[in-house]
Amino acid sequence: MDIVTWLQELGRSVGDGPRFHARPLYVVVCVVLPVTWGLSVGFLLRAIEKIVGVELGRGGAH
Amino acid sequence: MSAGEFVLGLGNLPYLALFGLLIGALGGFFGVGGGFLMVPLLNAVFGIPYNIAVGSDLGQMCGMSAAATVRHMRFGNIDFRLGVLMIAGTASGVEVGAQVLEALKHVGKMAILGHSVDSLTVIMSLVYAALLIFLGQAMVRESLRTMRRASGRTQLTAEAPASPAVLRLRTANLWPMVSLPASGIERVSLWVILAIGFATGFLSGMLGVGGGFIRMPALVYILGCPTVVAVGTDLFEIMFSSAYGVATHAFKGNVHLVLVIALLMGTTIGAQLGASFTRKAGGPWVRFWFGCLAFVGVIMVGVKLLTSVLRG
Repeated sequence: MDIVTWLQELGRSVGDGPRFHARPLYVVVCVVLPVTWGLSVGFLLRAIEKIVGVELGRGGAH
Repeated sequence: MSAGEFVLGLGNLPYLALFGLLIGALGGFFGVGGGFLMVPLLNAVFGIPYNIAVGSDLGQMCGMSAAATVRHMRFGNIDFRLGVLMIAGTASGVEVGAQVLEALKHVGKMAILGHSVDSLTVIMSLVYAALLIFLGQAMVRESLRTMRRASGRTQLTAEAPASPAVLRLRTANLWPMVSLPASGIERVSLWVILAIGFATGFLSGMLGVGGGFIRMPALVYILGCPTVVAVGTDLFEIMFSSAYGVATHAFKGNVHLVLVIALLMGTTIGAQLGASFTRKAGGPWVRFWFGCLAFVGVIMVGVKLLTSVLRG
């Protein structure tokens, strides 16, 4: 099962309105996924700047 | 489309990633998060209900602000004490904003011109149109003023001094008082910090925006933070408010994980592309065109709302 299918399966009842019931794993992944993504990208860009010796643009949100 | 019925087709993923790339590039180019464009356009272009657009955009924003915070930490631009103190106010604001959105989700339909329309779509479209008009005119006016100054038609003046009302807030003697050495602030009421956090958190929880357009001027003018510290601390705060926001929206079924991933992929690349282009463009013109772009957003939201009304 690929990651997109797994994520879709995890949040399959999203959009069901009043019938929606939040599964604990779904809530945890909702927070952990973007935080992990962001920290990885941030440290990766810092590493690239250090290795290559250039200052990359800071990107959105200032 | 009703707020209670939504299915995201996987075929839309490349388009959503492309859309994220475009908004990310605009955000990177103009130096803003872009949340105030992302949510209404996700609804106007892809028909994603506002509640899911808000929850999923907060996920995207959480990732982007975490990446930006990591990079700002290197420069020591974050006042962690101020950021941590503000979190309580921000979290309360996010929760209240999310509860308001949840209440709107369950209002049901309303009748407009004899047609039955989803109340959430109508109210959120109007709120977003008002927000985009406010931000657009502010950016256009500020950029025109800067261009007039640069061309010598208006005399250069010092930064506008804080108004008496703002100074009263800064010097309010409401216990408990705290000091913020990293920002060079000797004494300020904790309640003022919490109120700033609450106001921006409310916007974040209800509209899925970072709230930097309120928090930044509030930190600089009300608290008296240096601008560079305000920028770093704002990002730190957005990271926490969006993480709290995405958690509370997840409990309410408003976060679509596949949408979050698609947007994150697009905005991560787009923000870098936009930021690299911004070095080649002039500041006031950039802000002028971004202000105009906000008005295009208003038109798109208006057209989408009109279509929803006519379709009934």
